[in-house]
Amino acid sequence: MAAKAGREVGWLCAGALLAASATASAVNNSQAALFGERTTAVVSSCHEYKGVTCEVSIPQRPDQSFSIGTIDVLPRDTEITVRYYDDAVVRDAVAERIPALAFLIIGLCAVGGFLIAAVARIRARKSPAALALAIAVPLLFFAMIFTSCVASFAN
Amino acid sequence: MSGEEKRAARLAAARAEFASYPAPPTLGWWPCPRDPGLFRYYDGTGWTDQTLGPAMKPDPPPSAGAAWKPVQPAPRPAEPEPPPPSGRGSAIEAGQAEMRRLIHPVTADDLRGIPEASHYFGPDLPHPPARGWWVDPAAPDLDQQRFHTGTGWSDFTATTYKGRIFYHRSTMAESRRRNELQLDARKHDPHLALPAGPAVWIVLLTALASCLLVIAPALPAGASGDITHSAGVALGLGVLLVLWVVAAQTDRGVPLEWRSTPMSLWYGLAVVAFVVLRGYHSVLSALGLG
Repeated sequence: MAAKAGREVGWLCAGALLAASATASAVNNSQAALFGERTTAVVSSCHEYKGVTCEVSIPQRPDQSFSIGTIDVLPRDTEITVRYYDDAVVRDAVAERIPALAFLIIGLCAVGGFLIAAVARIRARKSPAALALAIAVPLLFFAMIFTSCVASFAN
Repeated sequence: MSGEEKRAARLAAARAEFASYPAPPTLGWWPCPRDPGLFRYYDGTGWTDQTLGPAMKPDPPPSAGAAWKPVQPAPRPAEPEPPPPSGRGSAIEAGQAEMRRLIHPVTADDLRGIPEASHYFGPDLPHPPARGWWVDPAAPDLDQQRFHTGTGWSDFTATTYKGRIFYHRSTMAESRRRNELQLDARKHDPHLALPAGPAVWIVLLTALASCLLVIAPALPAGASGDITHSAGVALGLGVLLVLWVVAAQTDRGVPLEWRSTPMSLWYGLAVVAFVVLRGYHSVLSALGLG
């Protein structure tokens, strides 16, 4: 019985870690869209190729220009609202946030699913440690969701 | 060239070579008409390539026109016992081959008048027995159904795979043997067995690592985010490496002839996937190596 529980726990833990790794590795643009600092960018140039891409600069990194996708070609020196986070800049638009949010939610569901299944396997053993685990893991999981939500809304 | 073709070629060569030699009256072992000291098998059609060293020197073949003198050759030496399976995965292959030999195909004619088996797992035989498909009592571990005529079990079996039903013929004894083989294979199937204490720790650390990895991007860019990310990567990688080592040790405990794809391979791939998903440079920098 112990062998059976242990076997599944190993795979479930590996699955949870891979899901967490994939969720967290959401490209920097997603990170910026969700948790980035809102700021104003100034357009320096735009060009059309498979959509419109504009080169912008932001006060936080005046020495560097960033490429962002826009709907129309914007005149030089136009000011637009963007989100900046660690070398990534995206437009501050719902269309940018929704895919990133969906990705995060799917990842959190996957991580939660793996962890719940792993805890359920361990709980079958009915030991005090398993009971403590059954309390600790949901707490950690909700801390994860809470922090993500707070950080997202705060920005 | 397959073994069958090689045998056919040898037989054809022997037929051609011995065509000119006189034929004995009946099939059986006879003194070889060419090689004194050997017996050669005559199969009724011609001489074959099968020879036998005699226990005593045989009489030479008769001259033309003379009568053949039948011989009782020394008993053919018993076929040597097949060597016990050896080598990686040989027991698995041997078991699978034996399992294939223990089921036989059936035709639509064989199944005429017999109702279809259940797509789902069949129920146990009711009491009193009724005609129909029920769980095969000879192979309870094979998810197999067997047709009961109402008076006794038939040889018809049914298994469901991916929504399709496959019918075969297999006697109760054959199915019992198949069940034994299945259990034997299952017994040697390696599983990552974590003792209760370490399993709790592994799950707890997994939850913590996942939490750190997911929270890290949400924290403000700077030292706190970097430390959280590094801790998450180090912890996650550590847990996966521990699982990998345990899997490798489990693989080593499996007898060689029962080893197939090592379980540690999948855990090794999980480690690689983790590094790829996080980004090679990101992992190195999180571990303070880059």
